[in-house]
Amino acid sequence: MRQPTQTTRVEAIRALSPHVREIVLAPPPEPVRFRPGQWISLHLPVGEKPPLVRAYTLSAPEDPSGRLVLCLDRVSSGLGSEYLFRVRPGDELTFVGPLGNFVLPEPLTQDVVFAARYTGIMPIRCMLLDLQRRPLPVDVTLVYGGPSREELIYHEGLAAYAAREPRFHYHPTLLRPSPGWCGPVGEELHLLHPLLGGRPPDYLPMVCGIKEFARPVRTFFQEQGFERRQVKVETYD
Amino acid sequence: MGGTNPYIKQAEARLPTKPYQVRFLIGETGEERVIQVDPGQLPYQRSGQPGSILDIALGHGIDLEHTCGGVCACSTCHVIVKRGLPSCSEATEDEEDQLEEAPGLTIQSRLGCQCVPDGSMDVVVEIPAWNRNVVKEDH
Repeated sequence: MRQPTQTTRVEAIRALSPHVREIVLAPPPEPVRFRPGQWISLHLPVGEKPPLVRAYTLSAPEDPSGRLVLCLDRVSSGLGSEYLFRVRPGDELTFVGPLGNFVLPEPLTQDVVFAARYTGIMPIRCMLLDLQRRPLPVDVTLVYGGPSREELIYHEGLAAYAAREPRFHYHPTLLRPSPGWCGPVGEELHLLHPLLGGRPPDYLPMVCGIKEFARPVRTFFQEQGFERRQVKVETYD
Repeated sequence: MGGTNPYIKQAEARLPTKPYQVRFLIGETGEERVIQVDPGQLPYQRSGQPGSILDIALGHGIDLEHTCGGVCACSTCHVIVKRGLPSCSEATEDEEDQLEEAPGLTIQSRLGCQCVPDGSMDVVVEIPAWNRNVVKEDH
């Protein structure tokens, strides 16, 4: 059974790093109502047997304009990302959605701990932008790792939010040393242990990234007393 | 999300070394399609694990929903392996997590994108008529 699709145009494109770009889609014919953390499924006119279906997270929350913002990293020999790195403003994209259940509970009554690696930040960034519309009702912690300083996507905005919101605790790390970086270097787990080791499981853990990252982080939270299903995990590989 | 990236480690799956047959029972239309899988031609396309039920279906024009692109991030490619399940790669916990969201779950249920037969026996796969997107959109 086919899902209903709709088509809209690329309105703007912005490079966020050498490997990551943001694509702004014009308001589609049917407004897309979504919760931060959800994604849409693009039907791309490429591949041996088009359409090639690929899912991309909405990286900015709903706004009155109805525009949609996607973010993606360039993958060598990845048909979908190569196509999306070639599209230009005015090109059409067809999609299905919104989809997905990696979303915050409503109302938010429990502290949240986010753990993300690289482009796994996208759904979390979307949630954080939405949360910034009002004072935080709970403490929100983000442990976020990037492959290099220039690939630590949205770092400046996240740091600025942490500077003005006392209940947002931001802990970035780089997976390897990078010029100009004075912060922590190493995997995200090295930050999670001192931050949360021994704390009772009285918060909501949410993890997003590739499985190689997400699996050991979920195990860490299980070691802290969470049931496997209490750890919300979104992976994309 | 989407596609693959340089940090990916693919799940292990043993690929077939000899031809075998997959019979698709398409619930929505009542149609049956029989596919001879040629190991030398795998993967047939670029969605799902190479050699997976999704790969075989899409490679032969069989419409199997896969809204996440075949990366085990939704349950829309839910299929029921009615015969030949022992020859298929074992389901991971991630696959089982996603399957829990599928309607009409059975003990033979798998995600088409993750289920890779090894070719040691022929396989019969039902694509449920009610196969549809079941991710929560409760907002």
